[in-house]
Amino acid sequence: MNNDLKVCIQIDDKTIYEFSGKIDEQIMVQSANHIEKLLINNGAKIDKIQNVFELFIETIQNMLNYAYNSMKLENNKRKVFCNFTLSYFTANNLYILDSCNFITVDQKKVIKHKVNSIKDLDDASLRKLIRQKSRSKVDHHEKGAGLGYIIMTRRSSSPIEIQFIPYKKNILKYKQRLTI
Amino acid sequence: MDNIFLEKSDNSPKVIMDKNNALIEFEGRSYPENTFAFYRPITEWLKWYFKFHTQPTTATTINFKLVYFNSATTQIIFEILDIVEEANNKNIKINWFYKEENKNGFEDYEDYAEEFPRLNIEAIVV
Repeated sequence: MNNDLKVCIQIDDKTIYEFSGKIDEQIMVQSANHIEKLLINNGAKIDKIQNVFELFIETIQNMLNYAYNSMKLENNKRKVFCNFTLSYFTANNLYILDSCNFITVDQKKVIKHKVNSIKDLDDASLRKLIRQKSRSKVDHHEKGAGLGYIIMTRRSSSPIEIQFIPYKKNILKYKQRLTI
Repeated sequence: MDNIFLEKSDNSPKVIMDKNNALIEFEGRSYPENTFAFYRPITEWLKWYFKFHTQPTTATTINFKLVYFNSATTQIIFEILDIVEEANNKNIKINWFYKEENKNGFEDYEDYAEEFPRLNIEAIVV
């Protein structure tokens, strides 16, 4: 495991998994598998495990694809500096995935638009939108049809919370909270 | 084109594209970093298979046995089903496998089945 990785196994409304450092595909896979084991050991049901697992993957792959400081490696793979924490709240059986990475000011507009345009949609509307976007080829680009935020919204228990903090000229810290 | 056989990895599925046995199968986790690049040879193979290889008398089976998959894979599955639908081949059996306790797995099946009613996708509980 990467030296930057810190794992805490306390589960009492506290952080159960924490990462700060450079993440690439291999570390993402290791982290996802570790998170899956933690949730299984925590007695989580299959849908909850799947939602946490898939939203973690979606979050990290978003960072790899779009973060300002994402570095290109061999074979078109990428590595990015980020941090994230996963916490569990026993009272309401909710997992919170907090993440933070750097983005450009232009990306802020795109993210805000994507999140705000779907935040009030119900599950049926989100499912319909996924189907429409997948088949219409509208908004398609080399990295996909823009389904990531729709699926994250659909699999979350609460609306996606986003925050943009000025860091330096044209660069922002992008904070995202998913409640699952 | 040759058959495609890919072993599963931690984040990519086992893939079988077997023209001799008319079997197409995806099994395991699907969230490779470059998902579209991973599936490009597969969608190309499918287009070739339905255009040049299938015989009306041979039934083709397509099995989806995916557990975790990313949004790009969601899109790829639509693309695969689009290719199958456009082939307009009546002799195809598509199976969607999911665990009974997995509500997400069944809802994914519902979405694909409703979007492609002519394909008669079947849900199979494992």
